[in-house]
Amino acid sequence: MFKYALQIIFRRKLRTFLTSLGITIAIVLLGFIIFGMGDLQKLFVNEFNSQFQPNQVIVSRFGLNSILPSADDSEKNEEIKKAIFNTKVINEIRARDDVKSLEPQVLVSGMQMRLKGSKKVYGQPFISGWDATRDNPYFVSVTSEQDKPGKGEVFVSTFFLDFYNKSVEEVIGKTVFIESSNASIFTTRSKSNFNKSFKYKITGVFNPGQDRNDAMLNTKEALNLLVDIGGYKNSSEYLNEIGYDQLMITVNQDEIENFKTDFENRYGYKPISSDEILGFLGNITQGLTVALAMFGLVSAIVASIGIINTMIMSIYEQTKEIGIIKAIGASNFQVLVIFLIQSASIGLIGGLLGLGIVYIGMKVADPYIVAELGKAGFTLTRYFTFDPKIASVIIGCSIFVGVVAGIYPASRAARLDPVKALRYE
Amino acid sequence: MIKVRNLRKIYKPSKKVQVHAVNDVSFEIDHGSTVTIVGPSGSGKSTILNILGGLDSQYMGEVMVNDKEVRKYNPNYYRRHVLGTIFQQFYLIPSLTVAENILLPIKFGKQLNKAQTMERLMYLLERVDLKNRANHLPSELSGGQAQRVAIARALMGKPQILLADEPTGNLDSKTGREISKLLFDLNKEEQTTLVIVTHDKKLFKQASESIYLRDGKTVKSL
Repeated sequence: MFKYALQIIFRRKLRTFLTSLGITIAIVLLGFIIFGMGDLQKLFVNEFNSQFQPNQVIVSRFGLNSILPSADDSEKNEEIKKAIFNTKVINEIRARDDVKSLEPQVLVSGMQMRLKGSKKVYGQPFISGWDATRDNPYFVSVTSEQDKPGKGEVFVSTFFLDFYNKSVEEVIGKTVFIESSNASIFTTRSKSNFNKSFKYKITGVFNPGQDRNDAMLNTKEALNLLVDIGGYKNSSEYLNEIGYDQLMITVNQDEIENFKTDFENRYGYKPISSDEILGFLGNITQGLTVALAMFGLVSAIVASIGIINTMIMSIYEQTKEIGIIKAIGASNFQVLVIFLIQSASIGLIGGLLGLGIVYIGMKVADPYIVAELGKAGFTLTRYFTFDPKIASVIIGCSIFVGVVAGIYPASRAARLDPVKALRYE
Repeated sequence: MIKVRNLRKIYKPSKKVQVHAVNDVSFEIDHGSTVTIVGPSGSGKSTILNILGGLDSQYMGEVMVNDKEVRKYNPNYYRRHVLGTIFQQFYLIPSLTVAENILLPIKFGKQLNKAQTMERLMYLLERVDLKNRANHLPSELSGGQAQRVAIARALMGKPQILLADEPTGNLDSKTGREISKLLFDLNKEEQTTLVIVTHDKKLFKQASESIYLRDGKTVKSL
């Protein structure tokens, strides 16, 4: 019976192939989503964990609180006056028993960068000013003879290198200008940031992983720059009026929750732990997966309509045959099974084809994705992981789609009156 | 073996039209006998064959096989184990080989084990002289060969009754003679009851009994 059912579908090879193509497309879509998005999430988590410790929290004057859903501003926050992270406050936080270390950062925005000798302008760079040394786990790698940028010096990131399409050796020792950007929309902090240009020597290149960071000055240099473009008297005035932008605080692991609550109550900012950021990244990838899976689902529905259509056509063609097999003893159930085997086989063929394409696509695309992600700062040797368990679930699902699509045509075939079927021309 | 009493079958092609395909037909067929049902087109031959074949259960009257009303049999059991059917157009499955076509009834209702099935298949292939064609497709066979496959298929499940609908109707007279001889010989060997619907005078001359129908009624037994 199984052989007979298969022979029927292979009688019309092209039609079977074209029908199963619908399933193939759905499986290709879903396959890449399932394998790709799962790996993307893993990638985020791995990279993040390599740069941030679970006992680290980040406090940001802007940005993080607004982008992390878990860190939305509650009414309680609004009641507390937000602190300015000046030297006094920083020292106060550092002195806490539950704080192991604190690294304050300032961010320079509303500027542009230009490599001397190049007309290309690196617009809207993310320039940080902090005193991180090369052994800081934040960096994936640092190429420099120095521990950190000195006076009049800057470390540029691999993003910057990619933009100018230069190698590390080609930029070390070169001059870069950090200039006021006329086209900028981020001009809120400066009082007179027009037509300013600051010259720095590149003395190092750092790879910031997946974190967007284009250039790094030491804190003092960055503060000098901010004082100058902002029209402040000195860095003390700047810090007392504006303060540090971001604090990276390492806290005793078991006190992290208490610290977060206490910090928020005292200073009006909610510290974000690495867990929360990971959760947020997880939410993004999950949301993306759901959205893409919807496309896959729609194509699966279209594919099942294709199967239904093919199976109904097949019934018209096989009406006489159905009459014959019923006349020689096939029961309604057996006819039903014959047609379900056919539709399940179409699903199986489509699934195998789709999975084959996904597998080959993964193998072919993997080196390119690894290279591209490498440029973006991710350190990985392989992006896609082909999981045979997931693959068998995908095949199971494609057979299931075939069976579901075949139920109506198969029951129609099973109910055919053998006398009428034998007379059918 | 087969008792038909006051059999009536009315078709209603539309609300106003009624066709009495079979109108009060009665006859009896003994076990092991060979009976032909003859008559012009539209006389109700095929309707009777469909009813006897268990394909049509919408009738009035009584149709008893082995003292049991046909409608009371499980239709699948009846078609698999009580009957074997041969059609005028052979009705072989084009994608299956000769051997696979013959084995088809066994696939739907296993009454023999594997060894018995193979033994039976080989015996029938030999009897219908198609041993060297076992792996051929129906499209590679002549009409006579195709009908011999159909006979072997009908006999595969060792039926008690063999129903044949115009078995020589699509064959030339020489092949028709060969097929009718084979049919009668096998019937004798297998001890089945053979019921043939035919126009072929040679066939009803060979039969032990004939039932003549006109306008859905039994005219006479020849």
